[in-house]
Amino acid sequence: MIPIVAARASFVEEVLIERLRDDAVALVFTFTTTEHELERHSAVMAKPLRAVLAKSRAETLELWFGRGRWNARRWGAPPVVAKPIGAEALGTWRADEDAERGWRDATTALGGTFCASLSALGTSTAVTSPVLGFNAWDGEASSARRASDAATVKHASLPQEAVCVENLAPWLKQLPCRDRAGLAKALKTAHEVFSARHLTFGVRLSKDGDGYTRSEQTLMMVLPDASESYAEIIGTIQRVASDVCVAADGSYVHARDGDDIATFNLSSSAAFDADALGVNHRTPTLYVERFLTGTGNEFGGIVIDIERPALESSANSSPPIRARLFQPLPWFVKLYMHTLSIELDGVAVSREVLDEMHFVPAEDRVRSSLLELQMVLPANASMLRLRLDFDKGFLRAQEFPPDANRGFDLPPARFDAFRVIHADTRVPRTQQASAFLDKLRASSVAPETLYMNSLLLLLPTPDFSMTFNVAAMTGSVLSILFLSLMRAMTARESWKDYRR
Amino acid sequence: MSASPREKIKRLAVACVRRGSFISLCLYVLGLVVASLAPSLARDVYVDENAFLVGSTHATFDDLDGARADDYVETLTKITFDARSRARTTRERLEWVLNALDERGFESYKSWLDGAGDLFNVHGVARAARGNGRESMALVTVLGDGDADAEAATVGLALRAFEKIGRAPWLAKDLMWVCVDGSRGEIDGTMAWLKTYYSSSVGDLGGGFERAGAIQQAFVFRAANRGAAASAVRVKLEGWNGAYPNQDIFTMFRSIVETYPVSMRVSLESDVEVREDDLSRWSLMKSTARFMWRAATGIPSGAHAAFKAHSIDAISFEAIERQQDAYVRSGLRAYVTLGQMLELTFRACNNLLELLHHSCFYYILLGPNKFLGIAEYIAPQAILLVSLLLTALKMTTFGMEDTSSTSDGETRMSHDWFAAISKLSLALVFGAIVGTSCVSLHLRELNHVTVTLGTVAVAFIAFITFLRLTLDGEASPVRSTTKVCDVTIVRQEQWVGVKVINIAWLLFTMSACTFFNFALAFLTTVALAPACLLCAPSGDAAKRNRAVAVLGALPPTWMFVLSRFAGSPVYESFGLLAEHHVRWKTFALPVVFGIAFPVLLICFDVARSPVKSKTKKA
Repeated sequence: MIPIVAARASFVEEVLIERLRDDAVALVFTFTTTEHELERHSAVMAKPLRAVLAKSRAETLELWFGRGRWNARRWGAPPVVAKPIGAEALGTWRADEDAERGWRDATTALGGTFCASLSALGTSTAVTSPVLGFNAWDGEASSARRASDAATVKHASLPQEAVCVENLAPWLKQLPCRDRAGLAKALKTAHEVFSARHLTFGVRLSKDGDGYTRSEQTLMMVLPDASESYAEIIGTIQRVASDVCVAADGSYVHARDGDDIATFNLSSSAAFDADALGVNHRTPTLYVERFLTGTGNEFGGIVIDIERPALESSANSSPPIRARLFQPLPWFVKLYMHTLSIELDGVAVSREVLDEMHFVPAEDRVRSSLLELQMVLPANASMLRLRLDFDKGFLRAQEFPPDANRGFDLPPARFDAFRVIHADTRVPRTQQASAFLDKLRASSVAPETLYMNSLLLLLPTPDFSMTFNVAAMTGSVLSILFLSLMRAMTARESWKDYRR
Repeated sequence: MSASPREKIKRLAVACVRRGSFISLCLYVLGLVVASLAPSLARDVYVDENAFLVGSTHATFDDLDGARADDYVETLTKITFDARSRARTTRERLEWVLNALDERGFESYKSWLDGAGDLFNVHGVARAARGNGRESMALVTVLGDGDADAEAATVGLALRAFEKIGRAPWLAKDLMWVCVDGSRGEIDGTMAWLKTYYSSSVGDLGGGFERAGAIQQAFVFRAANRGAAASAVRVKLEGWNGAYPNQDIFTMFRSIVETYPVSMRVSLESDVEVREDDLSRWSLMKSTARFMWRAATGIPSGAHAAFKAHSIDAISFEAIERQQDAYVRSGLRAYVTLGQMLELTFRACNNLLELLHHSCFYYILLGPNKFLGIAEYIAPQAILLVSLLLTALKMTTFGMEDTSSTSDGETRMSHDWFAAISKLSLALVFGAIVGTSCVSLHLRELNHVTVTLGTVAVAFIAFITFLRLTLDGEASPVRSTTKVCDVTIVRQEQWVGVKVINIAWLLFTMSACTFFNFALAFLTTVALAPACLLCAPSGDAAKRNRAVAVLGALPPTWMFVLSRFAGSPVYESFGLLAEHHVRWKTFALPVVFGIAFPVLLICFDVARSPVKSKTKKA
């Protein structure tokens, strides 16, 4: 039996292997460290992580990096939440007064630790405070609000963050054995990790009521099974028995085959055959897509499609699905809420389909907008379409990034589908127990979180060479004015006689 | 006492304005001379955007891919023989494309053309394995509007290139292949697809319509008429009303085509006899004239124009087979070369981090190797506009004579602006009536000859009516002077104000048009400026009649010259003009009836105005 909660500092490393369609394999590495906050010296938990949680006084802190896309239509539902492209930070605080200061401290410290541009998240234009999102919802309209009273949530994302080895190296550095021993050794070669079609990695720091601090570092990657990178990583995992991390209380490999999960303890040299695994495809509860409409420099629109999978929608009685949308947008995307239209299977319906709506309008250069919708996809409805129009804001020259003509990345939208749990709901079957497996089991009945595809918004961009033209013209005008003034001031009436 | 520099400048300016009429004529001639010398200023084209990394990559499209493409072409050709009609062939080929994409693991979608019965477009998406899905590139092929063999070669080769590029490890942006049903015209078909792409209306046929982020560049490809043959590549750049894509997209493509391994010539001309390697002055001038004519007509030259209308840089290119080229690739070799051309083109665009913005959108290409930037080509137009401005200033400030200052004191001119603006408004109304008649006659599905004759008749009636309505004769205020506090106010005859307003209208419209369609603005200014500058009344009846006769001869002369240039019969000119306007919404018809016709009416009015040489003292 694997120890789930250690009474002392503990470190458990695990990897889940899941074969997907398109000859792809998902590998999910999880490194869980638990330590009591009264322990004076950190034996296994990285000091910077422990310090940031203590200094920010947060209950939980999360920092995630994403690269590449999770192709839900081909690969199905991901084993863990597939994060969007860029960086995302999230924190919860018990008290409002701690949140402002704590958020700044946390983003600064995490940005420094993981070499990310998180200082940009400290500004008021980046951070949002969800009211509905990131909370449980039991179906009651006001339940989420009540739950949100308990904790203050801060969220921000950097969709344009270029995730690279610079972020992975410090992530590996937080592990007790770094990338020199144990499962993390499989992640040592950066080009193998970054050759993945999709990559999500990050850390979740939390405190529990018993004074324990927990750090969960997760990395999910999707590799082609015929690639050299995959062979190399699997080979390294199989050799871990001879090169275990001495700080690890356990090193496990979980191989998922359908609903069954087989666990191998690498410390006891248990052999596993990754090639023998069958292809898994767990259809997501919903497919979500997001796209922009319009092509001009002034107006645009954003459309979000929520689609029930074909198999389920063709069934005679597909159940209603409770869903929640969390969509922050930068201030220069000026949403018009009166243009919000909802279509169910192509037929316009009133807003009654919405259970609850929370909208924070943007304020120029001060605050980004936040749209949260809580809705129910009715039984037998297969597609829900939300449509909103917006104006494109005009930015000042200095507000454009160096690659101004590339466009602006819009923050990802998060979508939570709250499934109705039936008696036949498929829960992963396993004879073993571990924190990670518990999480997997819980994810089968917990809301399914999906991040929507990223978007690029083209804004009216000035010709920056005009600055030099203006500078040259202004300089000429000023020099003429200055010389005229000098001449007028220094000229003497008597000089005219001499000139004659 | 010598004058200060400021005084000298002022005197020079006053002298210039006072002799405005003469200097204007000199400037007009100078403008034409500068325009004829502009090709001397032409520069060699170059790739301004380094991020293309042109020449830094090698093509992987090989003989095996060429053979695959050949197999696809053969299959598509069989569909032609099996199907009963052209429309059916197109539909079946599109269905084949849809299935072929699906079988190869790519996303494929069908979308309706707007209310066009059973016509549909097909597009496939190759998601870049490591891309972020925010940006995409588009390859466009058109079916149903050209030679069936050429279309089979186009689609077969495009499918193989799409497979190859879509699975390339270097692909960072998603790649879309749009197969357009061109039965109603390639531009309409492409426009319908783009409307579906950029709108939230569901234009799909039940299978969904997935997008691939912001389309950054698009290329419309066609194989040669004989299918598997190519000796050169013809590039089409013209969008609506002389809009052009960023010059870099052309220079990048030219660079790829003209260098190893593609190594073919690039041509901008529809006439295959034109040699782009002839850089003689006369050849460059002809090339400039043809380029400007294509821009002035405002007619889009290919499906890329639909992308340009959506602010996406795009070009159309087609393989051509010419006798003048030493080496004609045929069969498998042609497929390999064209496949490499597509691969290298998309790879260059894949390297881009930003939209094209280094080079310019305002340019004149003197063939594929030389170009004039806006800094060079704007000079003749600026000189022509200054000539108009100078005459207008002169007539406003000094009237018809140099009476700015007298020994008694200051002299100021007074004009009847209300009458002048009224006349211009009336002329514009008549222009609108004639233009509307022209379009209405075309919409009644009359032939071009009838439309031309009808429009000429309406224009003649409008002309006579205008002259009758503006026949003020003796009622026109005569020149008079009034003295108020040492300032002599000279009230000018009415025609002076009318002429100034006429010039101002031409100046204003042509200045604005210069930035939308330079070629059209330049040609219109060249044609109308002499009439505006030179028209003046005369006390001599013979002179007056001569002036009216010359002005009367101008419209038919222009019609004749433009028809010759367009290669169409003169008696169909207004019919064609109306057809183009209705089809493409070009600027040409509004310019003819909103600017040229009213300006000429006013010139007539000025030329036949009575002149009173006697000045009344008030």
